[in-house]
Amino acid sequence: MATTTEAFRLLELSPDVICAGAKAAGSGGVILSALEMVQNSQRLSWSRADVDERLHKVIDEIYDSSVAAAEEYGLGYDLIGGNNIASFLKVSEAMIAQAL
Amino acid sequence: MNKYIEDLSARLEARYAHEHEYLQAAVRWLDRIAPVIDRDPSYEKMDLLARMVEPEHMYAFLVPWEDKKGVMHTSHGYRVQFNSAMGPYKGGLRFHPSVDMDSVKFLGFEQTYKNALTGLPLGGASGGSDFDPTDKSRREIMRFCQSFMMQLYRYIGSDTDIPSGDLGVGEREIGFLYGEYKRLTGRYESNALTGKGTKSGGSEFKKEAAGCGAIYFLQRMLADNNDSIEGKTIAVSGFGNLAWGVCRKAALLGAKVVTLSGPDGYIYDPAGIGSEEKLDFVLAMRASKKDCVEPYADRFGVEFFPGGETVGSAGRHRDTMCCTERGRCRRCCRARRQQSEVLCGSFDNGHDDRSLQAA
Repeated sequence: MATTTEAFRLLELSPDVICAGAKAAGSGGVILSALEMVQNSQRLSWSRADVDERLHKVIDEIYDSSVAAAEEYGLGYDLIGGNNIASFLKVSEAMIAQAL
Repeated sequence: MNKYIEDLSARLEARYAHEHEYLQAAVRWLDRIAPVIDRDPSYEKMDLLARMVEPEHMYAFLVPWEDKKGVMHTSHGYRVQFNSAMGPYKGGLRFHPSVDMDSVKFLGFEQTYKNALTGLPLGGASGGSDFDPTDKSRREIMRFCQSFMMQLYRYIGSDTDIPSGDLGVGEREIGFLYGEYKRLTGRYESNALTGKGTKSGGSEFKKEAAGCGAIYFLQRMLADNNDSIEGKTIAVSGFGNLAWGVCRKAALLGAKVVTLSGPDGYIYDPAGIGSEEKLDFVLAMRASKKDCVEPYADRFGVEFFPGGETVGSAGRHRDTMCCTERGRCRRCCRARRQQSEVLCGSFDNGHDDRSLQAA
């Protein structure tokens, strides 16, 4: 992982520091993979600008869902807390629906 | 502390005491989602968390391969299919000597929730081998990839599990793996692997995507704090694909990245790493597989700070910090003592104690 526990504590305790979280900040790669899969299924290839635009949209959704989840569970403006909760809810709801 | 989470953590600790990295990530994650579990006791009734912190399937296999002198070697291969609630298993393949079941379980766990966060129909997985590609010829790597796929092909597929690249597995390796998969199955199933070259069904914008994603997220953070990226000075750790993409996109948006780091230390370029020439040099430096950033300082006449010193310890002013590579930013906390305003990067579920000791 990118930060030691010591470094992470310092960051967490600093009111003037905002942390994005690795899952959110590093999600560009996997989004591109997912977009590659869509193009493969359709047997199409999109232009660079098309891919860029779709990537941007997904990142915006990640940001919004992280902010909303943190707010909903009383964490305030906490992006890491929010993205952990948002992703947990997505997986758990799917598992419950499928009785997994 | 939530009783269900406490019990489950204790169960995991007893069972997986030897799997340091996975265990730490799982226990920390349980702690993070506690606010949801506190609110809804049905999670405990279903014992759902127990099925969210452990993989659905794990495969381990042997990969024999022949080197250029005709000598046989045996590597270990892994695929952990962590969770398929949201979609087919999806995650990278890593070829690195550190790869073992523990590290792959850890990566599969992280991948599951990272993928879910995107809201796209993707499950989570990870895999790889302890094969070290750094000192191997193209032919040796090709043979290894083919032997690896000979085992892996029975576990993957466009509706089952879709591997992509990771450390040590780039477009070339994906090409070898995909070709072998095609030979074995007799189908042009382009969805079976991602990270392919554009001539084999790969996507445009692949190289830029990771860096752009980080910058787009940073822009939202800044906007919510009544600020913008224009004119910002950014510190980046690492010098791989993501770091390159961040340098490039920042320059396009009127900001500048002034640092890059590698295992050998870091460089500080006050003019910014944004010109075509500098960006190309960063790519070439990565492609050389020497795993060091000092050549950048030599080439462009900027300062290099060697050794364990990482980005942030030189006392330079910067507004934004962006960590882009695992294990490259052990003392980034120092940056905040130097008037940094915003940090953006891989500061998620902490770290493992081994890297703490190393730092």
